[in-house]
Amino acid sequence: MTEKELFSNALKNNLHDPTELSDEEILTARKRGAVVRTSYAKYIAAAAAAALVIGGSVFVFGRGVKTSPQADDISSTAAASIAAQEHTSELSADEAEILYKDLWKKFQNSSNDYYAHAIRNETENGITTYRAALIENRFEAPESEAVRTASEFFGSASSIEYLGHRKTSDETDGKLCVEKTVDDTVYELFVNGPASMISFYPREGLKTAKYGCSYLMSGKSAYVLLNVPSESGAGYTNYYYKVTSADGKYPLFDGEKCSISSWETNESNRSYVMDPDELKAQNGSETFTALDTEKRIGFEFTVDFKTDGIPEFDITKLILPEGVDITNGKFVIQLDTNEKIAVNRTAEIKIGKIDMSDLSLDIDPKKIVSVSLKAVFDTTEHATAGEYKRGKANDDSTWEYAYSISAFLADGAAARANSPTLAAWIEPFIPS
Amino acid sequence: MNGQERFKEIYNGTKQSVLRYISAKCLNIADIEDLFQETYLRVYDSVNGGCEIAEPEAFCIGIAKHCLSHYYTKAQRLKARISLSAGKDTDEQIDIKDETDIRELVENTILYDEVFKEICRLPSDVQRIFYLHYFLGLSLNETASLLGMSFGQTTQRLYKAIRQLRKKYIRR
Repeated sequence: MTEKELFSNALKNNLHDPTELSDEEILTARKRGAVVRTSYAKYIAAAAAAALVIGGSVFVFGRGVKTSPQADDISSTAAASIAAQEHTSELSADEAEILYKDLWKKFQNSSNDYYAHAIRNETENGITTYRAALIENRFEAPESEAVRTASEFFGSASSIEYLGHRKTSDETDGKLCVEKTVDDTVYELFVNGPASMISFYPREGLKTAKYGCSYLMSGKSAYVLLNVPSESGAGYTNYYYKVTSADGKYPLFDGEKCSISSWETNESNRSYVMDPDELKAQNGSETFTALDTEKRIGFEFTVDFKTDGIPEFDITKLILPEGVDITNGKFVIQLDTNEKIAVNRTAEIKIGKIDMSDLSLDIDPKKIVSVSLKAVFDTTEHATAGEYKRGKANDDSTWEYAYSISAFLADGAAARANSPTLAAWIEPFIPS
Repeated sequence: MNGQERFKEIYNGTKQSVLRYISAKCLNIADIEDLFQETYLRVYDSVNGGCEIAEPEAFCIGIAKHCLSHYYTKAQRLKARISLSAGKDTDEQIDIKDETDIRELVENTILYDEVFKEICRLPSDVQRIFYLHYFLGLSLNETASLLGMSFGQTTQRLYKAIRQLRKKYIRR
């Protein structure tokens, strides 16, 4: 993209060509006693059509007009009907509205089921980034209020614009990818970007997950992603919306960064970043067991959180039912620092120490803020993989393994929860 | 021809020139849509009130001028007459290549928002140059003519702004 295209797109993305308004749209605005921008006029038309369909509920999106729709404005039957459909293509404007409202209502009604997880990073270019997710509740959930706030805001947004869709199974489909760095691994929907991403997932976990919601906030708008699985479990469709706040304020975002209160309690704004001493004090040399949800397959390992170097990993046991073997796969150890996004070390799945000493050349051990171990593999029970395709690595390579078991060993969530041990969620890649 | 048909005819025949006029005279490009719509709401009132309009374009631009005058305070208008970007114009030609590959930097629409925000912080005359050139697609010659500037002034101000913007997004 050239600079010319950048400037042109920046303007066209934020301004409407008023000559696209028909004479009738201007007259419509006149009758309402308010000026209606192009896109909102379209929504009014869509809303009017939707109102006919769902029994007369009327919702109007207009600039500066407090007539924003509430979730209850929508017939629950109609909403459920549309949300339950398998969406594999772009929705009409009214369908998109109903899907959007219905999903935020779901999250609003179950906000206690989530907690916030966040890591602050600074990129090599000095840009502060935030990785955040609101994920299923394994601890007490002090941030549930934040979830509720976000849900209420997006459930009654004053103006939204349906931007298009993207199928995870087809990267080139859909009109818009709001955030290219979204990792399609469903339980690693973390984002590194110039703004903040909040993600929502159902409590039941990913195995039974129906929907996910995320939003990416900039100073001007919020880009909302609805993540809807296909009925077959073979993929997801992401629907993108642009939500504009009348007052320019958004929940959990202060204009520059995420503002979940518990993130920032000390002078360095890094309360959730544990330095090596803290890692050692809280974790020391620990032995962990990571199992799938059926507690059949997993592994044991020891991690020595050293104060003066890269943590040492020692795989001590592979846990497999009798007659089941691992056919292929790998361990992926990820170290996050507050300067670089991540450093990975891949190792063969076998018992023994994983040599990571050379990683100290790539990162400063004193700046490690998060440590995780993941195993992705196939077994003789689940020999291959096409149907289990789920993962996508940071380098855009795709994993095709039957299982992925992750253990997050030390990070902000664990620190806040005062949990000295495993802060992990473990789900096998079993199709629902 | 009834009032609504007459309005449609006037609107379709004048909207491009009215938009250009407003774009060249506004103090902030974010106001253009409102000013445009306000102009035609007043035109509609006039048409509906039985006003005979012999020269639709002149009539609509006259109303647009009136809307601009009402929209901005006198102090704002006076301030805008002194270009904040004009002081350091030189004859120096600056080579701004348009081939800069920023694909990696433009990964999402958030960048567009940030660039737009920066454009809106530029002096109003420079905002107008951006709008006319990059949004309406006018050539720099046309843009200069519409703004009553010389071609050199127009390009100097544009390039200076691009250099400022570039510092911001290249940093990413």
